[in-house]
Amino acid sequence: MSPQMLSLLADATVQTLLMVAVAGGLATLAGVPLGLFLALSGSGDLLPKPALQRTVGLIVNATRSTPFIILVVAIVPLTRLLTGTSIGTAAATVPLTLAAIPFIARVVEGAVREVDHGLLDAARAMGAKPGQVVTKILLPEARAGIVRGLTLAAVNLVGYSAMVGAVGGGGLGDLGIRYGYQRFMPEMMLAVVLVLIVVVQALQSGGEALARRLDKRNPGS
Amino acid sequence: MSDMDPIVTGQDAPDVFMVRLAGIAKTFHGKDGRTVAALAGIDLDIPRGGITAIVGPSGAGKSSLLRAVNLLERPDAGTVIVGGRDLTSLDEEALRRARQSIGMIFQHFNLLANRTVAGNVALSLELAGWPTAKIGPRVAELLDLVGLTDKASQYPAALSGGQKQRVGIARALAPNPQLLLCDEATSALDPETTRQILALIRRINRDLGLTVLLITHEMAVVREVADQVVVLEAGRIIEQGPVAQVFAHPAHATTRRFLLGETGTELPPHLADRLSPAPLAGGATLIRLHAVGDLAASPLLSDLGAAGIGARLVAGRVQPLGDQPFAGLVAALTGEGAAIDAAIQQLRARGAEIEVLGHVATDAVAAG
Repeated sequence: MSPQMLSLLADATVQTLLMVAVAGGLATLAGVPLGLFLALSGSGDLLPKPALQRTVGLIVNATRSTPFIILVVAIVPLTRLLTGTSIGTAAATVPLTLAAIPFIARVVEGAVREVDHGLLDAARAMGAKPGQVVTKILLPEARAGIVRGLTLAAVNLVGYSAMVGAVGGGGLGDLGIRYGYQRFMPEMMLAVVLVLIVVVQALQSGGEALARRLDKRNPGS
Repeated sequence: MSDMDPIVTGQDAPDVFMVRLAGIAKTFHGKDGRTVAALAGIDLDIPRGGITAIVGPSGAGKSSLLRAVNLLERPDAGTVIVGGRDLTSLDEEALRRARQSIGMIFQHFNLLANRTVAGNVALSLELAGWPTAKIGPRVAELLDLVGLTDKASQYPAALSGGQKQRVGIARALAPNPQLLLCDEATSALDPETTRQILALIRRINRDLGLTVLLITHEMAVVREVADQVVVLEAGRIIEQGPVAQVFAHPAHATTRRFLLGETGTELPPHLADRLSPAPLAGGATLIRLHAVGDLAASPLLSDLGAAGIGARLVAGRVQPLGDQPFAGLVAALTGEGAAIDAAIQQLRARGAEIEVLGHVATDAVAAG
């Protein structure tokens, strides 16, 4: 592979990592509170708001059931509003973030619901405020599950980021389609796939190692 | 004493009682539309400084009653007064603060898996808003009290069940509560560990003057640790009183049945099968006898022998109840009918609780 091609590959890798990091970061900021809300607002939960919970749940499900490529096109006006353009890495971050928020919300909801109900009893018996229940009990006890969920979200984002390449989003997917497929350069296609495998593998083992370190539920961990 | 006498009679001064429950009722609504009364109008006063055990079969409402005391489960009706304050009238914030003076330990310990032993004990202090500088020394003090100083930096997963419950106790005691609620605190532990945890509860009750209210389905726990016992059945109190009295003179059939296993006075099946309600010529009379204190320690069998009655032990046990001996025996008495009746009357007059179970042929007793 020529140095020129190698530098294209490096640029595209950086773009992909950037998209995943920015979209993942923003989606975590929005998705974790949303997931907490979903987990805690059912009737009989800590902060019961069942009607609002159903509505939010419906929106989350609707967003998750929209095929990503359609979401990208459907929200172009929003993307233009936020980034001033609908093409390029910055623009691609918008639909990526939007797709990851409900995913992360559901994963966080699941992890928080997994926390032993007895701990909530103990917390109430100790006179905990709702905010303390979240910060001192639910989030610390759910942290390993949340990290595993965020890892899953990051891996999904790598895949989605390749898809936004189809609409000029840049990154590894874009490179693979334009050079590997349209210009018929199988070695470029192979290189793109290999880099993606390495990135996903690194995310997965990094996330799993972190989750394991945070998880004290089993002896010896 | 009637079934419904309060545990402590006499003065009605508010500080005699740590907990006063009045008219506590709670109904659960099942999915099939049926309603189940978990608590059907409970009036109960818990004296300050003692250990009171609420005992009963599963489904009797023990857990709902205990959880009503700190309003983890709010009853549908009734008032809950703890330490002179009516908790049922408090708003959420005041109730939160009131709960910080009521410690609670649980059957499954309910420790945070991702906090160390010291961190778990610190939690109750953090939630109560203690300044950080004071938390460390207080945690060390509590870990010393429960004997876990060397485990301070371990995580709960590395502890045994008994050690986990010690952490639970340390966590509950850290903010200096006036009352400790124990929700089947030893039911997940083996007998030896149960004894150790009960001894610890007894010790903190005596040393710290802490009032303890516990629920259990095991009469053994009541015998080992409690001063007062309340027997619950189908959401009602059927009997209550000092443990020695209820063990020696159970007034209610359910209490008696509950005590059989613990006192070792279950009638062996080979005798139960051949029991006859009417006296048999040359047969034996089977009695169940409960005696406590001096009477239990006295030579009951030779007293019977002196009266010309043969007494053969069929089942039974003598065990400590608080600081006095408690005897539960099943005996087969042989002799003249009138002499047996007189001996039973005499033992009753001396304070023994005697139940005449029936009559069997003497060879049945020997076959056992």
